[in-house]
Amino acid sequence: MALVQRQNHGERHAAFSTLVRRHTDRFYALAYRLLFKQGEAEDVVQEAFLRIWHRPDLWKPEKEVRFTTWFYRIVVNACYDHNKRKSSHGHTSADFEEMETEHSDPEEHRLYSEVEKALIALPERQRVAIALCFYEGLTNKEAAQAMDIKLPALQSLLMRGKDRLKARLGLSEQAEGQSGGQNI
Amino acid sequence: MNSKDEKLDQLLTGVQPRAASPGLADRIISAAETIDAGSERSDVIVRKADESESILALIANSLTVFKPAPIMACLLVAGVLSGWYMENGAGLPDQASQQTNRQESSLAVEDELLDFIDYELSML
Repeated sequence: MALVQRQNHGERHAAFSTLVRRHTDRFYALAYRLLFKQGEAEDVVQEAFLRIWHRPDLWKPEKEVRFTTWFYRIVVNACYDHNKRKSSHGHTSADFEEMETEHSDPEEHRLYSEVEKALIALPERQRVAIALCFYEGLTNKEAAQAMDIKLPALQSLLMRGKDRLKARLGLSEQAEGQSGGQNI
Repeated sequence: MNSKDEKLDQLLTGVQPRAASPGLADRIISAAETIDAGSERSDVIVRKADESESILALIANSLTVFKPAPIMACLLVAGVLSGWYMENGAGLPDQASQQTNRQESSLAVEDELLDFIDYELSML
């Protein structure tokens, strides 16, 4: 990332290309898990990368622990902005219909489709916390930094998110009647 | 971690995102190039905007906004001083001078009246 901050245009562009090729898949996966739409996730990742192309000075190496942790925050914020622009009430039923799962077995397909629906139904911040910690493998501390929240707040989001998923998927004792809580 | 947590983890692991378009990275890189090529003109505009912003900031910083308490104190002192000044009679005409002014003006009227009478008599 330090190379992208160089003044020399050639070096800067080469560094940016390397950065994009190295990290696109990882950040796309996160954006997809937050938006559940391929085209929108790709647009958000592109927007995030172009942001650092325009303003490489946004990253302060002396302040941030790791570039990836910092860039997770950029992508997460871009997803928040995207959702805000799209609708103030999050996903619509149309989003469910457009989803595609990639399981050949019909039973598996049905099962994982249910899990996807449960993830989509989660409040946005709980979904982000689960995506960062579970799928991206960030530590709780790194995920809290990426979400710009305190560690206890992240732990609370994770716990409530998992409880809600378990309730929705019938994995908790009080599964009945808990699937439709209020958004945080 | 209990069995339900493990089951949940298994289910979550099974949900994989749809693959990104094959040329996504190239698309982002070429978008940066395209924007870069057309950005020189916009850079000039941005620089001009920055300059005008900095001028405005400079003006705003140079303006001193006085605090209310010193202003009130100054006004109070000015009020006391002007009151004291007027009390000593330096600011307003005293009674004698007012009377003199009144007498002078009545004499002027009388003069005019006498002039008029003289004129009328000379016409006879």
